[in-house]
Amino acid sequence: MAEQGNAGAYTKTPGWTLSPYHDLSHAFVFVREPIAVLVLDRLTLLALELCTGHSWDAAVERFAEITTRDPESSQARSKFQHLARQLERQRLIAPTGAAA
Amino acid sequence: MAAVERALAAGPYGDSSSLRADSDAFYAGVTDLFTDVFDEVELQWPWPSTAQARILIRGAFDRVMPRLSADPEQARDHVAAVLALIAEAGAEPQDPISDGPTPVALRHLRGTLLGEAIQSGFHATMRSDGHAFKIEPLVPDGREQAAMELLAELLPVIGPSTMSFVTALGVFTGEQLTSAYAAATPGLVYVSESLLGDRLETADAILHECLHQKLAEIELTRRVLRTGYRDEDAHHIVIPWGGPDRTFSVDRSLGAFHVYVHGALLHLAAVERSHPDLDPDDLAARLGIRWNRAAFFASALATAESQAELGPDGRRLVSWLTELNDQLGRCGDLSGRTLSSARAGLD
Repeated sequence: MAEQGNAGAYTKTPGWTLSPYHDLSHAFVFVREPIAVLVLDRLTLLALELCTGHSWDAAVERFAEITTRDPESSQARSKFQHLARQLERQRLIAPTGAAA
Repeated sequence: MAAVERALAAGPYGDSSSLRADSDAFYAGVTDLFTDVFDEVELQWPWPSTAQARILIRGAFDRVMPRLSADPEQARDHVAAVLALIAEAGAEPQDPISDGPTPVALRHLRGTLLGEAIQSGFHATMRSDGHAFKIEPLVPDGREQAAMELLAELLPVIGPSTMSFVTALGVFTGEQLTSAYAAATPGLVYVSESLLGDRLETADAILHECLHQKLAEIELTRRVLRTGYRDEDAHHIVIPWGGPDRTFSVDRSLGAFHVYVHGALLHLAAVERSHPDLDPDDLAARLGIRWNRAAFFASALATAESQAELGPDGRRLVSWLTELNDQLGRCGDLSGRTLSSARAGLD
C-alpha cells in the first residue's frame, strides 16, 4: 500500500507527555487538560505511533503485519481501528484529514 | 536456596531496579503534571533530599491520585497544603536521605512539624484499618543498623534490594505493635524498640515491612487486582492462626504470601549460616511457621474465589511465589527433614 505523502492519519494533540515503563511494556501518559494519568499498553502504543506517522491505510497494514504477520488480517485491522478510536476519545490524537 | 533468592530479585515482580525506575517515572511525571497545571503547586523532581519531606510528598500524591480526575481541586489543595507544611518546617532538623541501599534511621520524628505530620498519617492509616495502635517515636540507638546488617548478610541479594524501596526507618515504642507499614507514610517502615534485642526478629520485621513498599511499587504498574477490586466487598480468606474469626482480604493475603515466602528464605539462610545469635529450636520453629503460612496462602490464593479477585499479574505473581515456595519446601530444616515434610504448625 502506497503512503499518502508524509501526513499521518492523525496528529498527536498537545498537552500530554508519555513516559514508558522500564521494560517498554506500557507507558504512563500525563494529560494536562482535563488532568489525568493514563496507562497505555504495548499494542496501543504501537497504534499511536503508526496512526500519527502514516496514512490510515499504511498504518492499518503495518499494524496487521507486525501483530499477525498478515497485512490483510481483518481481526488485526479491526483491533487497530478500535485502538485508534480509543486514542481519539482519550483526546491524545486528532484526525488530520488524511484519515480514511 | 541461593537460586530462590536470585529468582525473587529478578523478573517483573522481583527486579528492584526496574520497579524503582517505573516508580520514579510515575512520580516525576506526576510532579511535572501538578506543577504545570496548578499554580499553587511548586515542586521539582527529584523531591527535596530529606526523608521526612519525601515521605510526606509521596503520601500526598498517593492519597490524591486515585481521585485526581474526579476531584482535581481537592488533589491540588491537598498537595499544596503538604508542600506549604514542608516549607514552613524550613530550618527544622530533618534526616537526609541515605545514599546507599539501606533506609536512614530517623532521628527527628519527635517535636517537629514534619515528624508530627508523619505520626498523624500513621495513626490515620491505623484508624482507617480499624486499629487503635498508638506509637511514640524514639531516637534510634544503632541496634536497628545491626539488624539491617544481618539482613544484608543473610540475604545479600534480596536484602539490600528490598530495603532500597524504603527511604527511612522509624523506631517507636507502643503497645501491641511490633512493626508496621502505613499507606499514608510511604517509604517509611516502623519498628518497635521491643524487637531490637533480637537481631533476626528485627531483620525479619524490616524485610516484612519493606516488602509492603515493594508490593506497592508492583501494584503501581501491574494489574495485580481485578478492575474495580475493593477490599470491603472482596473475597476473604479465613486465617487459622492469630485468633478466632480472623479473615484477610485477597489483597492482604497476597501481601502476606509475598512476605512469608521471603521470611522463610531469610530463616533458611539463618539455618544455613548457623548464626551464633540464634537458638536452634527457636529458629526451627520460626522457619517452620513462615514456610507453612506461605504454603497456606499458596493454596488459599489458588481457589477460584481468590483467583477471581486478581488481575492477570496477580495470578502470575501467585504462581511465581508458589513455585518459589515449593522450591524452598525441598530445602532442609534443622532436623534434616525438608520443610514440606516437617509438618510444623501455623501458629
